[in-house]
Amino acid sequence: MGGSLSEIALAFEAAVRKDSGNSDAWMLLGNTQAQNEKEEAAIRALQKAVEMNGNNLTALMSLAVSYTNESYDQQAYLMLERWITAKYPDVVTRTAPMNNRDIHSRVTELFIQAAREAPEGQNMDPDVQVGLGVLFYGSGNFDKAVDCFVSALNTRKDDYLLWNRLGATLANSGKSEDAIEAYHKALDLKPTFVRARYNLGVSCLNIGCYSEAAEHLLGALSMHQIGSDNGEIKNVSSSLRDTLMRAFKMMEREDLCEKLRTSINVNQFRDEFDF
Amino acid sequence: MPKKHIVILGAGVIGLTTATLLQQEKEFEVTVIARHFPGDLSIDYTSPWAGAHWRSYATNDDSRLIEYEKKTFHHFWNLAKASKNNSGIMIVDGFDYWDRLPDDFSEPWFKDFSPEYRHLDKGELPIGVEFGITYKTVTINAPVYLNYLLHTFLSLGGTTQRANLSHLYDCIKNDTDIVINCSGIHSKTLGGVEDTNVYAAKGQTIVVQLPRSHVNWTFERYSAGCGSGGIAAGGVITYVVPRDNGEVLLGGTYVEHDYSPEPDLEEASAIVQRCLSTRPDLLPHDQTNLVIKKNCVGLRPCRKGGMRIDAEWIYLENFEKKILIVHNYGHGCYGFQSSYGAALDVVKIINSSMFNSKI
Repeated sequence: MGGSLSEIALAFEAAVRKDSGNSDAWMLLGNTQAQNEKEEAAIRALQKAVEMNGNNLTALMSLAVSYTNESYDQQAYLMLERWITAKYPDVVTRTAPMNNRDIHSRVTELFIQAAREAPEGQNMDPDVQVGLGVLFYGSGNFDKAVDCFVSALNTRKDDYLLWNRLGATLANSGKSEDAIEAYHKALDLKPTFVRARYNLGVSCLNIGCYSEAAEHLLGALSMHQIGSDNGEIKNVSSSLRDTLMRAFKMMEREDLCEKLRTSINVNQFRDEFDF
Repeated sequence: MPKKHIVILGAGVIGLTTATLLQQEKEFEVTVIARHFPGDLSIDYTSPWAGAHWRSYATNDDSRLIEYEKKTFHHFWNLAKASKNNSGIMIVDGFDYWDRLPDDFSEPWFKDFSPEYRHLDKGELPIGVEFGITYKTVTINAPVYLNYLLHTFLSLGGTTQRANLSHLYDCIKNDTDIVINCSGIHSKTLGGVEDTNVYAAKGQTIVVQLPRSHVNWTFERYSAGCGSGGIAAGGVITYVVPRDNGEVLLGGTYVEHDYSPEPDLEEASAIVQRCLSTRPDLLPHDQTNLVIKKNCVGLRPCRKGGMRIDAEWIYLENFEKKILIVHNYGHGCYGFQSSYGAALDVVKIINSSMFNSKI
């Protein structure tokens, strides 16, 4: 499967082996792993990117998102604080010190200040909206997070990452149907986007469509195979495998669970699932 | 992953079964909050007044209820067969009698499910009965089974709290992740639920004490006004449910929208008469009459459209977090016999809702 995220990740891995001091190469590797639903690998690469260049804005934002997904909320807020300090140093110096406030409200306040600096329509920085969205998402305030992602999408209609973030936020606030629509937008823009397909599977699980969920998850897993199509997968994403296992359990299909325990080869499921 | 904290409102058969199944899952820590617990007797607490026996009223197209009742039957059957049986469940012969074979009679769905299901021969029918079926089934000593559930739940590490709440959200604390409403009849008035489809169907029964094992059968008799579906408003229904300790429960009545807690003593003696005339062998040879041990009144938690089992996320501004609200109530006259299957479904719904999407 040409151009799969797994193959692109291999290319970036080769690049950082050659030039391990290249922050952008680490950042691209990290972003690819996150899109490929391999969060731990993404975090390792993004940490390297930030280590090589503390002002790598894209890496800081991506790392904040990955930490949020793994529930490392404090680390996520720290990355966002570093991001806003690097990009909007004036906002930080002009805002009165807030040492007595917890980091979440402190960083949120800085992002709100930065958003006010640029009135809507004029040079609005969608990344500020994304950061705010991540902050609201982290505190469970999904309605506000949705507003932020929608606002960022107004200026970046073709940003498949944003469509996925909007979808996941909708899904986690219980709006599975709307979420599925957003994921489909993301997948239309980028068919090889494994994370959006994984999320689609999760939303199907949420609404009790277990067999459909399994198909999406198998589809996502199949994108992890590299080269020949014998169905073998290396460096399997544990979240994908675990979630597929849960889907089989929900289907009350112990036989499928056993198959999956024995082998990660997706071809063994093709006679029953269409993916 | 830290454990998810679940609060269950209600300690009837639905609440306690749901609590026990969830406490068994390693991801959850369950607290049952209720006004009444096993051992309490109150008109506000329906479960201890139940018969109870397994006799499905699910229509042939109600696949959800059929699934629940199948699963519950298997569970009860296994409990009854367990070497150490302290659950108050026993296996008996079940009989259904119709005074008149309804014109629209069709075989119940459990024809191919219940062990040893068959039509009764003419010679096996009580006087005044035109048609009947028999099958193996189980009876449940409701107070004993409720105690068994509570004991199982506590031994798994579950906790309980006595409280009288007027709003569903009153049970939510900082660490609460999931709330499950198993408040039965109270879902009609409980704030945050206020389900206008909920109503009571009052039932009156009598408990008599007989020698242990004297009665090893249960019956239901459908007389004037009952359709083919069995128990119904306006119909005369008669039933006998033996318990493992020699108590035998005689019933019954089915009066919708009647919330009065007092037993009608005339009705009580009419019930005894109906039971004796259906099965004279209820009376032991050395007894001339049945001695009433207890008159019972219970309010079946009925719901237009059937039981409600679903889940929704809510965001609570004051706690700055989202909470999963699950409902499991409205089981009418089939609470015990659907309890286990319904609770399994709740576990499934909660597990499905726990998957997080990734931004």
